[in-house]
Amino acid sequence: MRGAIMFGVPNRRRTAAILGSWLGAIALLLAAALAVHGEDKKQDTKPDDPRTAAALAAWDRIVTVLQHPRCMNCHQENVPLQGDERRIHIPLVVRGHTDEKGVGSGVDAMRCSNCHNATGNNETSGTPGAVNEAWGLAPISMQWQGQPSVKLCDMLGKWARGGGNLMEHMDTNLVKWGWDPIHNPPWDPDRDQKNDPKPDPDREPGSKRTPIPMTHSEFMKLLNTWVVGGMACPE
Amino acid sequence: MNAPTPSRRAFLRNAAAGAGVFTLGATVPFGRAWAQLDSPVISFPPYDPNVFLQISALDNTVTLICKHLEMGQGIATGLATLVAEELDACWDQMRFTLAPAHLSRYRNLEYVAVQATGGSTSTSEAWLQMRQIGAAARAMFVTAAALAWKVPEAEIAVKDGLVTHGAHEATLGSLAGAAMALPPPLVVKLKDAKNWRLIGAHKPLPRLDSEMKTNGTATFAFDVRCRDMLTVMVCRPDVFGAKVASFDASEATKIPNVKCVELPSGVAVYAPNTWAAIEGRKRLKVKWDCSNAERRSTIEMFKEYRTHLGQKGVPVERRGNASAALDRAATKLEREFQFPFLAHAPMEPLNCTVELSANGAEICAGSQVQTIDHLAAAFVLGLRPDQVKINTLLAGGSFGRRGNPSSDWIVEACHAAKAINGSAPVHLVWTREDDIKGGFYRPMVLHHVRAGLTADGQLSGWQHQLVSKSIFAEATSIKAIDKIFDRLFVEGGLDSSSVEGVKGTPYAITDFDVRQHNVTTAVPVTWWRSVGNSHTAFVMETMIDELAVSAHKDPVEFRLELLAADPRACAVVRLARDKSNWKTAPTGDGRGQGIAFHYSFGTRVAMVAEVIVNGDTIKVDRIVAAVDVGIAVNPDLVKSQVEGAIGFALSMALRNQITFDRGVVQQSNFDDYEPTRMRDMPKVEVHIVRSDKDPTGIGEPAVPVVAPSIGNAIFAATRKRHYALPLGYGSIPPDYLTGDSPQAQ
Amino acid sequence: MVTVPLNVNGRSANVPVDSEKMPLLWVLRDIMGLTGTKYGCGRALCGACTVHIDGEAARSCSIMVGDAAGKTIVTIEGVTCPQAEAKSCPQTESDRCAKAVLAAWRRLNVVQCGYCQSGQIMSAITLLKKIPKPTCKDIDLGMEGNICRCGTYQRIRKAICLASDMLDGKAL
Repeated sequence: MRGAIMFGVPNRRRTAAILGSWLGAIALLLAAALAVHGEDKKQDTKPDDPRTAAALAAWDRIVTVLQHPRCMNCHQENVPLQGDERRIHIPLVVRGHTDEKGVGSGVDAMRCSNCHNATGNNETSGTPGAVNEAWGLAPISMQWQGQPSVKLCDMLGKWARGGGNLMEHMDTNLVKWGWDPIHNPPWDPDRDQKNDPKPDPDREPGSKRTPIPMTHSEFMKLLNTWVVGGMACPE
Repeated sequence: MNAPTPSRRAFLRNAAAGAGVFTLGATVPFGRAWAQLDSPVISFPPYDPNVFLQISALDNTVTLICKHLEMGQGIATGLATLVAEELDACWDQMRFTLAPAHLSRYRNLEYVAVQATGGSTSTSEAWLQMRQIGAAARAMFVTAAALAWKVPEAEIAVKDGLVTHGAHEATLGSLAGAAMALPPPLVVKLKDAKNWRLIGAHKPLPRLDSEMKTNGTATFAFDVRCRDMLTVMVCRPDVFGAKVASFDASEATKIPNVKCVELPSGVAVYAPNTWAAIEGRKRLKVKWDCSNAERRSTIEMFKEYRTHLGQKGVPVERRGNASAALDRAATKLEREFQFPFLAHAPMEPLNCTVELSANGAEICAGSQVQTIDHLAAAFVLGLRPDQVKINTLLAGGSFGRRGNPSSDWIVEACHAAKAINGSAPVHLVWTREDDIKGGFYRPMVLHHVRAGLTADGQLSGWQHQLVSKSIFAEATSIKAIDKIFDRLFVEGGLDSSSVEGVKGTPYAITDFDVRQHNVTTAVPVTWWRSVGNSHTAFVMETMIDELAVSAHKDPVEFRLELLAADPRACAVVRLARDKSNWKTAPTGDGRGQGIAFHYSFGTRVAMVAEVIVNGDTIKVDRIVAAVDVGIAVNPDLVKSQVEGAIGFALSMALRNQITFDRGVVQQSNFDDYEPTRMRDMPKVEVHIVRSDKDPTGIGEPAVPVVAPSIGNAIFAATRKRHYALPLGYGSIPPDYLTGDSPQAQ
Repeated sequence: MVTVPLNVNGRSANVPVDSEKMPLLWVLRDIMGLTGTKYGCGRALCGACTVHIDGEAARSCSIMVGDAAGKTIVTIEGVTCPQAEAKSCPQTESDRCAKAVLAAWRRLNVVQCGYCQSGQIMSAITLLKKIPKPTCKDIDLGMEGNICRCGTYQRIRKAICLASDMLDGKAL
């Protein structure tokens, strides 16, 4: 814009060109900031870059979500865990068949979907479910049990740079289930606050399932900060 | 069904006097209600086959009206075997139906005062009766054929359901009309054992309930449907002894057609179907008055139990001088054993239907002690017993829960029906949570034992104290019934079910002093499969095992010495030893073998368990069992009961317990009260001692032996001795966690 | 009140249910009168409620009727119905498995109280369809979800092996 004014003469074509080039630059920068494909972002952000610091701070909070039972219970090697107490799944189920994405769906006659609905949580039985998505164990490449924060960071970063759509995955019904493991349809503060304040998990059947203790939108913002900061990992 | 003719009635009464068998009202202290149940005459030999058999001219089936509750133990098949044997029916034509409540026709001949299935008495109490029924019916068929064909009775043959004489041939069905109308013979002759085709047959007879239970047609009480039936679920307090203070049904009644009414046991939710009742009850808000409730935790309860030790208590069994013998002993062992409350957890939770009418009430239930349920229902409904009909249905397991002296579920259902003035039939349904949390547990027990050995390894003194709540004392809310139980089962303050298995032990303990301390708690208790033996056997067998080890004697030899006066006991111990590679099985790597023996309900059982212990997980790999049941009517069903007892008791040994936190039961469903699963189950081999003695029971006797045989095997494997149940081992082998499963990739 | 299109044991109907969230178990038992499928725990812990949905074993206490709409449902009552599971499995295969399982169960006197057996049989049929020659561990894992309080496990295991032999033409 300033270019157009500096030259004094309102030349529409030049203004347009300069405007265009500025918009293009902004677009490029935005794309660079938001893109999760492509080159190694680490090189783009130096250690003393404030975005790196922000990314590291964000990661420290992101990892608490990954390590929360609602996520960690299914990021296991062969047997899922249950509940806040992280007990071995009762009845015992194992990885069994895996699909092309590496998701484990259980052995014959004991598949995850034998009990876990795609209609969502079954409030009567207390059985979790994610709307329109299949329940299952995360791929072994995403086995998180016992992994320290730096390793988890590395795993996630590698996956994202390797083509995994991080933001998309974290926005699926399966992942969002972690924020409302009880209701079906999932609890919506705008819709449900008046009639049904966020429930006390103690009142619900089954093992205790505390929701992830930050809002989903906050989590997505943290992820974004982390990505923008080059998916920086702690030492 | 034909009523006895007047002359026969007189005969029966005289025969009663002559045979010295007491008649109702003469010896047993019965209340007026009891006497009102039905005809005062007890039927006894000769029994009228029409009371027990229905033979169809249409399809030639012979239906046994089975006096006992079929709850999985196979008694319907067992009694039908006895009848079919003497009747010479073809097994394929045998059917069964369960008898309704009717004391004089269907009483348990061992208990006399009740129609009941329990105490593992069903086969032994009906052993003679069922064969007499079959033989009497056979004689009636022969007479009918003789009359029809005008030939001598002695020349008529009956085999595989066919009556023949020369060219004449008739099925039982075709002759049934004539035969069953004849008076039953006054004397019957039973077959010699050597002529049995069905009793004791090596080739298993197909169970009569197999088909219906595999094609979805078996009707349990849970499946009963009446027109306009309402499903009822009751909201009960979290702590025992609490009462309803107030309730708010405003949210619950937002579910269409749901309504809530207070009952003595809690607040009932009535709904048109089960799910609506579940959802309605979830939304019900109840305030409880807990002033008389049990508010202690398990630890505090055990603490109180301990304060009773050393007090006088109630004498149970005493001989010789135990304390002097212990003083003399070279080695003294002093041990304390703890046992938790246990839930029965039958697969079919408690439920029953009650339908009131102008004339009375009709109840459908998997009732185990019909007479008590009958009296309790009549009492609650304010009806005469003859106005109340109880239909017995197949039970999805019971293990004693459905034979509760206080008839709690029947009483609750009657209250639910009354509370709506009988305006609709009600189906009271308990959820699994209601079942696990609902009380009437196997009591919690504390044992304290001091036992001694001489220098050369002989037993020298045994002092034994038990602390628990009595099952029979004040068992019901109906004083008349309580009085009867007291008179029958509680002698001088001692409830025999609290101490059976210590009391009456076949081990030759010359200096023996056993005392019981009775405690009170609001937590209700009742019979749990094998009752007192479920804990006494663990104590006896663990102590005997530890004494054997202290004496440097082989645990089998040590037992055989002490059982020398009971050859049948020695025989089962030897059989288990011989069939189990005792002492020659591989050891090391956490492997160990343990033996246990117990005598209960007339039956002797020994088991050798083989375990593999890996830290805090265990695999019970194999159990070899030897049983002496006298004559095994259906050997295959005897084996299945022993296999079943192992399946049932394994989780009780390893992991089950009902615990209290400030009065609240901490368990709720099959995740925190997890029964045995397929992968837990060991390989089981059952060996039956050949015998010509009258049959004794098998429903319960194998249960007590399971936990101690495992405990003793664990000791052999690890040198660690357990003095409490559950043993506390996990059962998921490490390789499951890391992906050694067949399809893991 | 809502109606849901259900195909059960080869027959289709629009079934009136309290809500789409009503567990299939109670629709089958209380509304359709098919009481062969049992309630044992209501929380997918015991398997008494097992049915087949599109050829797979499913715990009807945890499947909402809305999720079962439009799918092929088979209960114990319909398990040897030739029309069962036509969509997802060759109908002769599931029928053969069912017949073998039932024959083996009866020959070995597997049942005791029988309450869990509908679920056991439904799981066993699925297991054999997918794994015609199951190993011990296959049986452990495949039948893990079905509890039997009467302890019939040893006979269930033997019956599955016998059924496998029958399907193979071995045992007669």
